[in-house]
Amino acid sequence: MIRSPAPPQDDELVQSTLHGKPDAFATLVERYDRSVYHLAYRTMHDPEEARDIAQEAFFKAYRSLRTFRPGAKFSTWIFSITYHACCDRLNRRKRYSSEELPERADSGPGPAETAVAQDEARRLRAAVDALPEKYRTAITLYHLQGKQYEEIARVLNIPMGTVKTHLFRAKEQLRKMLTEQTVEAEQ
Amino acid sequence: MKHEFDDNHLDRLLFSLPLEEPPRDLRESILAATIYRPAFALKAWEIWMIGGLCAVLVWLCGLIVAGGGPAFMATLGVIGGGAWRGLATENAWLWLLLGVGATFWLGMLNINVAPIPSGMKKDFSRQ
Repeated sequence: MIRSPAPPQDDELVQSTLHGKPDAFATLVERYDRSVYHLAYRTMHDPEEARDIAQEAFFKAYRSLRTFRPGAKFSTWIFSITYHACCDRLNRRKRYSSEELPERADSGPGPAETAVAQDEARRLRAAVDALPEKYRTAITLYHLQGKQYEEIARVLNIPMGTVKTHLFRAKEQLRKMLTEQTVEAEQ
Repeated sequence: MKHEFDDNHLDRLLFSLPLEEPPRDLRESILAATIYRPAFALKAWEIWMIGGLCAVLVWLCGLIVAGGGPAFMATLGVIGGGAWRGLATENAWLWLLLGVGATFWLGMLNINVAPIPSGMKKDFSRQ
């Protein structure tokens, strides 16, 4: 039986791009565009800005691909670029707007007949949106990257202990909000 | 629905949460901004060279304006006057006409001996 060749690793794709094979970068975009957009969207709460940031992050990554350290994870690198782009925009927003940043997203009540799983997902999404920014980003990366505290610490450039604290508090707040919502929905 | 969201339940919910759908043309726009971005027409050394020349020109203009203005204008006047005096003679006009005529005649000559391959011919009728 002929085995199909294993898909190339991210660092191999980076090396191929650097050796003049642009299609390799297209594969990287295909792998991470959705996650990058998701992280930007969760942080910014604006689809247009999330789109711009995703484009900007990949552009920056492509332009500085030579600085990518061999052995590092491309996902961590691109998420880090994305997160910094989000921070820049949030800072600009704070500087140029007198309005307070929305700490809570709208979470209107869903129809009662919605399926339980969908309802839970909707509630969870609303609860994540309602978290403070630092917890929201930590929980979004946790969701995107799995339980890799070290990766999250690298992306956010904070100690691993702080990541664990942020995740613990984020989960505590989520648990509290979801429980309250469930009780309210049943009353 | 459970009233108590324990750690495992919350983790399960988080990991089963679907990612937001990105705009349809996001991937295309990223690729257009990266690998399909048209290369810049000039090379880096050419930009440096043009920049250097511009800097020298600006420096020279600065020098002229700062102190050498009248001397520069006087030099230009001498050169212009010389050229005008040269053109005022009949011989100069004769040689000039001869040069223009030769250029025109050379331009009329068809030096392309080999036929152009059909694949290289442009269809100008469609333009």
